[in-house]
Amino acid sequence: MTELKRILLVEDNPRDVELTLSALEEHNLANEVVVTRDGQEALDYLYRRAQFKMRGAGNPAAILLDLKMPKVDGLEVLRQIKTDANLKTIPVVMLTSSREEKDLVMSYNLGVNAYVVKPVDFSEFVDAVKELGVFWAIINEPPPSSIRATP
Amino acid sequence: MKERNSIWGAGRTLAVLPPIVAFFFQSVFWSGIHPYVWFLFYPAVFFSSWIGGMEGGLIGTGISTVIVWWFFIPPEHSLALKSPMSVLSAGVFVGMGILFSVFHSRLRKANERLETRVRERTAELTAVNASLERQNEERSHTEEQLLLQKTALEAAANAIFITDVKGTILWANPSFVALTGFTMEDTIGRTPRIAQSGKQDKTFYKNLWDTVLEGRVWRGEIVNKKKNGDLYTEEMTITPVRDSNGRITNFIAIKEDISERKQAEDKIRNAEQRYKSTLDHMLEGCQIIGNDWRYLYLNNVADEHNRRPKEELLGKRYMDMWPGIESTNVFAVLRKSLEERVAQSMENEFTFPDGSNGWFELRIYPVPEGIVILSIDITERKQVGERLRESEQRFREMFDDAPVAYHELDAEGRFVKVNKAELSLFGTTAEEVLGEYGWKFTADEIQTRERVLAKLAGTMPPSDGVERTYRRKDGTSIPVVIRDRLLRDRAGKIVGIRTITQDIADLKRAEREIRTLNAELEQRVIERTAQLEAANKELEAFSYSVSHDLRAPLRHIDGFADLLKKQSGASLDEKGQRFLKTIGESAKQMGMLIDDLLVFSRMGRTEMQHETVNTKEIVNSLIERISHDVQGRAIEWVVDGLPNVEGDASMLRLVFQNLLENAVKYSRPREKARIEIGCADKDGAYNFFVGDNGVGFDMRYAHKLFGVFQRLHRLDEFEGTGIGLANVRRIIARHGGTTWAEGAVDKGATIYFSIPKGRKETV
Repeated sequence: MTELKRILLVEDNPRDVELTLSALEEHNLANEVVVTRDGQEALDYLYRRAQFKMRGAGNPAAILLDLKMPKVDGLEVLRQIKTDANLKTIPVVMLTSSREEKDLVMSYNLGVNAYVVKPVDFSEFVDAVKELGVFWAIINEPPPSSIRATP
Repeated sequence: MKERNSIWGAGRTLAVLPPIVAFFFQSVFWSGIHPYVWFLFYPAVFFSSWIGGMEGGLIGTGISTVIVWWFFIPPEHSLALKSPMSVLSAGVFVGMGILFSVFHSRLRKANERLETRVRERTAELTAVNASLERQNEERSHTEEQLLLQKTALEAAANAIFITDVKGTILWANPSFVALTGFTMEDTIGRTPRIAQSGKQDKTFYKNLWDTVLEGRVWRGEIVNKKKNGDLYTEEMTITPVRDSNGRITNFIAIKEDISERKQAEDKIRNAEQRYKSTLDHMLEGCQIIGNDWRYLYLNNVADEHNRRPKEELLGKRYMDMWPGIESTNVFAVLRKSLEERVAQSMENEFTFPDGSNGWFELRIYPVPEGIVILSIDITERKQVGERLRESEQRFREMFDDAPVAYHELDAEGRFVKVNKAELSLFGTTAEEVLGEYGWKFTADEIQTRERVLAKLAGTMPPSDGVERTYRRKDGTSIPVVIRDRLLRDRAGKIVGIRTITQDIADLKRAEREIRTLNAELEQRVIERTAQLEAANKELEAFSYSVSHDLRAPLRHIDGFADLLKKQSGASLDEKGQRFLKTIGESAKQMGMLIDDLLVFSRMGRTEMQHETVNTKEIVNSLIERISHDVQGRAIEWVVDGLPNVEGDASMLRLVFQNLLENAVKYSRPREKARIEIGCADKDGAYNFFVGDNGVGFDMRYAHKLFGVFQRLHRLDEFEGTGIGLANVRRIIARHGGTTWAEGAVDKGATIYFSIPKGRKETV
C-alpha cells in the first residue's frame, strides 16, 4: 500500500469540508486528513497548542488552506506559516472560491506553493481535490520534518 | 579773198607776156628754128597757164595761135592754111595749150586748197597755242591753290583723312595723328578700322558704308578708340569723291573730337535733368508761370494739388484754366509777386471745380521767366488739427464723465486735474481738491506722500493695480485699486502723475463671497470624494463577496446534488433524476454567470497595462487551444495581416478569446466552419475583424449584441452568459476603440473592433 502523508485541511465551511472529504474519500485519500475549522485552530494545530497540545510532533506534508475564514483568515495563517522558521517549509495550497487577483497576488507574495480555485461544478471539484490529494499525499516528497502516517 | 582776186587779176595780165616773149625770140632766131613754128610757143603757153591759170593759159594759147598762124605758118602774114600738117600742128598746139591750162588751173586750185588748209590749221594751232598758254597759266594758279588748300588741310584742327574706295587710308593730316595718337606710319595704307572701339554694332557700319557707297555724305557721331585705348566721341563727316566719269574713287573723312563737347553737353543735360528731377520729385508742388501768365512747368505733385494733369495746363493762361480766379485773394498775391517781383507766402483754401476744398501753403518767388509757386497740401494738417481739437474735447468729456476716478498731480504732487467720479468717490468738490497735495485724502497720509514723491522722483515704479485704502471726506474708508501713469515732457522728465482710482468695495465683497463659496465647494468635493471612495470600496467588497461567498453555496448545491445522485440515484425515478440534473446544471450556469460578471467588472476596474501586443501570436495560441477543445469539428481558420498594437495584452487576449469562441460556437451547425481573422489599417486605427459562416444574427438586434446579459439565442440553442461581447466592448472602449457587428440570419456574423494607433486610454 502506498504510504499516505498527513494533509492539514483548513476550512471553515462544513459543507465544503464534507465535499472535500467526500471527494478525497472517493479516491481513498481521506484517512490522513486533519481538518481544522478556522485559522486559529489551524495555527493551534501547527504550534501544538490548546486542543492540539497532546498531538504528536511533526508537520503535515501539506496544508490545504481556505482563504476566507472567521477569526484568522487564510492569508494571515499563510503569513505566519511562511515567516516561521519551523513551518515555512510546509507546502501550502490555497483552495478557495476566490478568483480575485489581489488574493492571488498576495498569496504568492506570501510564498504560497499553489493556488487552486474551487470549481462550482462538483465533478470538476472532485477532480481538482483528487489531484491535489494524489499530488500532495502521495507524489510529492515533503520536507523531512513531516509526519509519516503509521502503517 | 580780195587779195587773191587781185593776184588772180595780175596773173591774167601777165599771161600775155610769154607769147610775146616767144614771138620776139622766134622772130630773132627764126632762121635757126625754122620750120618748127610752134617750138618756142609751147613753153610760152606753159608759162602763161602757170601764171594765169586756166584763163591765163587759154589767153596765152589764143595769142600764141594767132601769132604763129599770122607770122610763121606759110603763107606768112595770112591766116590761110596750105598744108594739112600745119592744121594738125596748130590743133596739137591748141590742144596742148588747153591741157596746160587745165593742168595749171587744177594745180592752182589744189594749191589754193592746200593753202587754205594750211592757213586754217595755222589759225587753229595759234588758237590752241593761246589756249595752252592760258591753261598753263591757270594750272600754275590751281597748283598754287592746291598747295594752299593742302596747307590748310594739314593745318586744320579737324582730323582729316582720305581713303580709296575700299577704305584704305591714303592721306591723313597731323590733326588726325594728334587726335587718334596713331602715327602716319600706323595710318597710311591701313583702314579706319584701327580706331574701332566696338561701341557701334555692325548695322551702324553697314549703314555708314551703304550711305557713302551710294555717293551720299554720311555724317554722324561715333565712338572710337585712340591708339592708347582711350575712347572718345567724334563727329565724322564722310564725303565720297567721284571722278569725271562719276565713279566713286575716294572718301574724305573729317572728324572732330566732340568728347569734351559731349561731356559738356552731358553735364548741362545732367544738370538740367537734375534740376528738373529735383523739381519733379519735390514733395512740394512746383509750378512756373510765365510773365504772360502761361504755365511753363508743373511737377507731378502740382498735378495732384491742381487735380489736373500738367498736359492740360502747360502753355495755357492761368486765368483761363481757373475761371473766376481773378477775383480771389490768391490771384492778387500772384499778381503782386509777378508785377512787383517780390516773394510771397500764404495759406490758401482752394475750391476745386468739383466743389471740394483743399488747404495749401503757397510760397511764390519771382524768377526771370515769371513766378515759381511752391505748394504744400496742408489739408490733412488742417483736418488733423480739427480732429485733434475734437479729440481733445472728447477726451476732456470722457475724463470728466468716466465712471472711474481720475486725477492728475503735478511734479510737486498737487492736484491739477480731477474728474467727477473721483470727486464723488471722495465726497468732495473740485475747489477743495485742486491745488492740494495728493495725499491729503488718504488713510495713510505720510506713507502716501512718500510714495507719491518717490514715484515723481522716479525712484519707485508707478503703481499698477495696487490696492490701497482711501479716506473719504466724511471719514469713512474705502478700498481702492490705483493705476499710475507717469507724465513726462518731451525730454523724458517726469512732470506729473495720472492715477486711475477704482472703488473696489463691491469687488472685495464679491471676492469674500467667492472665497467662502470656494471653501464650501472644496469641502463638498472632499465629502463627495469620500463618498465615492466608500462606494468604490463597497463595490469591491461586493464583488469580493460575489466571488467568494456566492460561489460557495452554488458549489454546495451542485456538490450535494451530485452526492445525492451517487448515494440514492438508483432509488430515484426518472423525474427525480432529471430534477437533480437540473439543480446541478442551474448551479453551474449561475457559477458561470458570476464568473463572467466578475471578469466584466474587473475589466472595468483593473489598471491597464501599456505594452506592445502581438495579436498574431495571441490569435494563433488561442486557435491552437480552441482547436484542441473542439476536436472532431472541421474548422478552416484564415488568419491574415495581424499587426502589433499598443495595449493591454491580457485584455486583448480576452477579446480575441471571446470572439474566436463565439465564432466557433455559432458556426457549430456548419459541416465545415470557416473563421476568418484579419485587420485593416484605416484612418489611423487598426480595424480588426473576426468573421464566421455560422448562424449569424438579425441586424435589427445588432445594437443588443454588446450589452451585458444580452443574448440573441436561447440557452438551449447556444450556451453562454451574454457577457462576452459586453466584455469585448468594454475592453476596446478602454483602448479608445469602437466595436460593431455585421451579419444576417444564417449568413454568418462578423464582429469588428478598432484600436487607434495613437495610444490613449478611456475609462
